[in-house]
Amino acid sequence: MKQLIELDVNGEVYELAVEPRRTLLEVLRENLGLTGAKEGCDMGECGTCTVLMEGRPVLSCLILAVESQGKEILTIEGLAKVGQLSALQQSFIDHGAIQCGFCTPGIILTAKAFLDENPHPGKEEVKRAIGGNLCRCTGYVKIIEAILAVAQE
Amino acid sequence: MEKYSVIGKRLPRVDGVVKATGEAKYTADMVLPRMLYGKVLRSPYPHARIVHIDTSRAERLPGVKAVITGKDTLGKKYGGLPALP
Amino acid sequence: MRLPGFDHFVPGTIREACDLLRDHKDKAKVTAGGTDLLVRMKQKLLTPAFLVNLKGIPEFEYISEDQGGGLRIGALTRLRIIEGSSLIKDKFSLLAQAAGRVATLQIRNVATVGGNLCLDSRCWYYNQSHFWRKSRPLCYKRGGDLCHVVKGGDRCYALCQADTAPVLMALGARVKVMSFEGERVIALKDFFTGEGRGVNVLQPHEILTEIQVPFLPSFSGGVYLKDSARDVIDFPILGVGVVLTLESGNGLCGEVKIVLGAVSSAPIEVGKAEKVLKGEKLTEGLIEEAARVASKEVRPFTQMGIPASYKRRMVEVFTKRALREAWRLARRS
Repeated sequence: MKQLIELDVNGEVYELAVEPRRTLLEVLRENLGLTGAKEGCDMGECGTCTVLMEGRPVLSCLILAVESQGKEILTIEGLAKVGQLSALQQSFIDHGAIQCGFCTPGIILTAKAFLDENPHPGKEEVKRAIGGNLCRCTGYVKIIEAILAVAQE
Repeated sequence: MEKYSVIGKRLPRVDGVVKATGEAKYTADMVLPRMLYGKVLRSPYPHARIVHIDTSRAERLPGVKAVITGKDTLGKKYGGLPALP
Repeated sequence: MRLPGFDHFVPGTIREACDLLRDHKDKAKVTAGGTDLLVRMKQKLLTPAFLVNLKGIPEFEYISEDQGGGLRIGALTRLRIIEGSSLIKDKFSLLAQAAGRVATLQIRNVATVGGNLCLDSRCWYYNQSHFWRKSRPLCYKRGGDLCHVVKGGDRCYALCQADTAPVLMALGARVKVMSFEGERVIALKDFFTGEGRGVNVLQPHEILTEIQVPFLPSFSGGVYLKDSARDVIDFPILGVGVVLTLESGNGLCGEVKIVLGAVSSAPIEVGKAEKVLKGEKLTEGLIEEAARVASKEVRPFTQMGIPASYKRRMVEVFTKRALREAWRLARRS
């Protein structure tokens, strides 16, 4: 049975009718067309579905849409202000931290939330923080450099 | 001394921005009007002889447009492109 | 993978939640963080017709000091909160360590300490998708009559891989469990069954609501060490929770608790290893002896890609390291 829910995504409120079994990831991608969050493993082991909920990185593939009401959700699409990339987004591009780009939305969001809480982390702390976001292409070095470069500022 | 525009310069990748903003569309992100969805059914047995594949019940399910098995690609050893003349 | 269909309830109080479980019995499951349950539902290991979502009951998220001298931790408290709590880091740093080693940042932001404690046992032949499991005969944990890990095994040998379990057991914690029938308090050593199928004594209509941890005496030190494939993400290959208290007058080893996780279907307290240390003057040599005894006290099997011999060796290595660190902290306190 579908439920009527309200989701607050990237500052906009959407009214949707969804079954309880739909995950937040499915609803973001299929109902709202926000395909920035990716379906990598669909079981909490890769981090490509990471979105921010009330400023905290969470796995949208393991959260039901119906339990996401009343919580501010930020996806990668909500990060850049009109025409202006965020510092992290720019840093990833400048440092060559993007190859295929599939992990990029998830890692950038995790990094943003982490830096919001820890503005000046050390390298080991950054590595632990992004440990939940797997990257098959880059080997992580440039990703960590890109994040530390933003942290230094 | 000549000035180079590319050699020795940082060249940010041409698709960096769309990937960093989530705009980049990967195959799984694409939605086209009236598109069909395919699903692969694999054998649950790692080493077995195929005796028979019965697709009749699957074909009768509502919404199923086609069921494709090995017999549909018999004789074709490569991709989907027709041989050029 | 799509979730199977279910009806979703969001009770506003624990009382409501208990009544829902009473009404729907085996067809209902509670979900707290959901980071383990939803995976198992996607794999069709369980298909409850009703989900009772405890996220609507925020009063079970708390860390408060008990009059009796201890902490009471609400079962719905998120692991990330436990990891960062200055109160827990002060009184039970090993618990903050263990909570911080669970999975990933994203999971800890949602997963609860109660959920981690109640984590079902795990096995490579069990925690797989429906498709993967289809080609194999049913094992004990699935209601069948064999074990894929231990050939000719008499029971399920799935492992208890919850990081907080050995630590809470080493701390002598108790849990409060509620249901429509009332409430009961169970010591953690009585909470785990030692069986891979049905890891704990919780009945389907019961909800774990609180964890009670008594304060440690002065000159105590504790640590949680974890061996895993990767530094982050992975379940433990081995977890070691050690709590050690020095006697105040003479500096001899007083109480010591060494609890091993992920070697068996329940956390294992290695009493023989503890006996080596109790009442003795601690030395590096004695600690090594205790670690050796611990490695002989366990019976690991080769499973989940880890040879039994490696696990046994790591019990010795990690127990030694944990005892050293706990002793160091005990002297400093």
